[in-house]
Amino acid sequence: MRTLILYIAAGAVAILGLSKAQWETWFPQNFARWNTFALRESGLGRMASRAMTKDADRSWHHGLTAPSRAEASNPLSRWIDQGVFSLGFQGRLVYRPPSKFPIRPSEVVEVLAKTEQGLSTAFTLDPGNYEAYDAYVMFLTTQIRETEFGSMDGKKEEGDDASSVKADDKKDAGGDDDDDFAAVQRFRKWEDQEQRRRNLRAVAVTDYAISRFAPNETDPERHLGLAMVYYNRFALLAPDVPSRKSSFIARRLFETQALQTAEKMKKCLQNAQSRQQGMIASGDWQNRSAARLSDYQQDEQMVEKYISVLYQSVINSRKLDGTNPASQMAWRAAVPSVPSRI
Amino acid sequence: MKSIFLLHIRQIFRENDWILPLLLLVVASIIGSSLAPSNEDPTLRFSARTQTIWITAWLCSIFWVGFVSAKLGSSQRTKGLREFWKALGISDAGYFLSLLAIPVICNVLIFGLAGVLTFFVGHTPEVPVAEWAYVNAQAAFFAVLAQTSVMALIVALTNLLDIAPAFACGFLINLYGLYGIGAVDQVRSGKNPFLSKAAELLWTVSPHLHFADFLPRLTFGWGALPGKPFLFAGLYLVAVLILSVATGSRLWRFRRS
Repeated sequence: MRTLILYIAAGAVAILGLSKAQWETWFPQNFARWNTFALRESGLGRMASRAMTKDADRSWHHGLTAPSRAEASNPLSRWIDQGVFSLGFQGRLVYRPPSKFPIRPSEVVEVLAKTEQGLSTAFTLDPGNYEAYDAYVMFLTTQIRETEFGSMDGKKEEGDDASSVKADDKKDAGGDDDDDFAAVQRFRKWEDQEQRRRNLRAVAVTDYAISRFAPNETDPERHLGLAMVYYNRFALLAPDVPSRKSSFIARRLFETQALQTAEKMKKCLQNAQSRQQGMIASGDWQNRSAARLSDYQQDEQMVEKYISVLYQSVINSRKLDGTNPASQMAWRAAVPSVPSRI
Repeated sequence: MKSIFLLHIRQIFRENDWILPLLLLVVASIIGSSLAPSNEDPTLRFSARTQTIWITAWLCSIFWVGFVSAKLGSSQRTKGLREFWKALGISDAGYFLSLLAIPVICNVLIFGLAGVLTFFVGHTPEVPVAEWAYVNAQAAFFAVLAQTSVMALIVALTNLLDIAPAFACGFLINLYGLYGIGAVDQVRSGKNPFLSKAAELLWTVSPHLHFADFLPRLTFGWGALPGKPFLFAGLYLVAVLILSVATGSRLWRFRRS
């Protein structure tokens, strides 16, 4: 009996304490409560996140892939999603903004690897899709010169928050320019190796896209895409300007490749036009949306333009036989921005 | 009763495994700052130390003190001590409380040391010293209260179970009371009326050990808990302690092995 009274009394005190403790007011307004061991924002959490990168490559642990939107209204699933979100890379961007805490080289490398993986997957799923191919090759051929953690040239931009924070830290720590210089040197070496690997990968991807193209493809857009793939292959492999200036053989090689590429592109253009005519005759063409028709028209004009650019570059290359600076300037003006190596 | 307490506390200290949590807490206070990017933001080092020390203290309490409690309770039956003390006329409740005093002392030492270390190495210059001492004392007090409830159940359960299951029960109660209850809180504020009511009921009867988790308050510098919530949360934890000790005493009744 005494025990029962004790239970009842203790239970009543517990309920009173629970109701009056005002648990909801213990935390600031915007505080997300799901933060086991205060993992978010902590070095410990970031360290655990790094440690799990290899094994949890595709999972949310590392958080480099954006978490999917919660579609269910179930409170339990919403709670789980909040937990996922708080632990991911998105959480890092929110709670440790790059403007105040610059993204580190290791994080840049990780994000690049993750992005490449995503683009590679999209391309592998459909090698004939020019959009997927183009995004992948553009990623591979874009040179990394400037990142959020600092300039590759070792110069800090004026007014850049990230740089100024780092500069302040260095000032506080007594300055360590040697370490900074060494870090830039290390990153530059990595950048050179990485760029070489990326260029080789871009060529391999381009060859793969060409080899996987089905000759009996009925979609005219895909033939136009193939034409641009041929152009990209030429842009990747053609001798660059310094070698053409110095070597007669390089100039002839360039002309041969340019003419061959132009012929291939013309053939692709003809194939596309003939299939377009076939679709117009069958009535399928009119069923396409206006936006898609407009895109096709623009693509067609782009292929025609690049064919003419190729012929023009051959003419300009021949002008290099005589070292006339004016002709070189004219050549530079004729080349569009994308194929910077031509 | 005093003899029981002294016999076992000496045994615990003679085994020397108490050095491990002590060492871990000291190491945590030293390496804590290196777990945060304190070179980017030097102010983080205080929070990082505080966080590491208190996480270590909680882990030591949950795992080491939990294991000590389970081992202590289990050894009473396996070594035939229950019959011995029973023959000397010691009551079950007195016997139980004498044993429970040992994990309480261990928890007081662990959380007290965590509070002292945090007071010295985790103090952010902007926070007044008195307030920092007060919030650490609050944290240690609540942590000891909450963990005593769990340890009472672990010791009591060893009368019925072996070491491992008794320890596992205590660990799961800790896990649920500290963190799992957060899920219940989210569900009870949801739109589904049935789930909300069920979660509300569960919320009322669950052990709210998370009241004792001052980690966010210490890490993010929210200051001391105001008097009224502190009083009622303390009342709640004391009431839960009474309930668990009463339940533990019932479970600790003498039975022949």
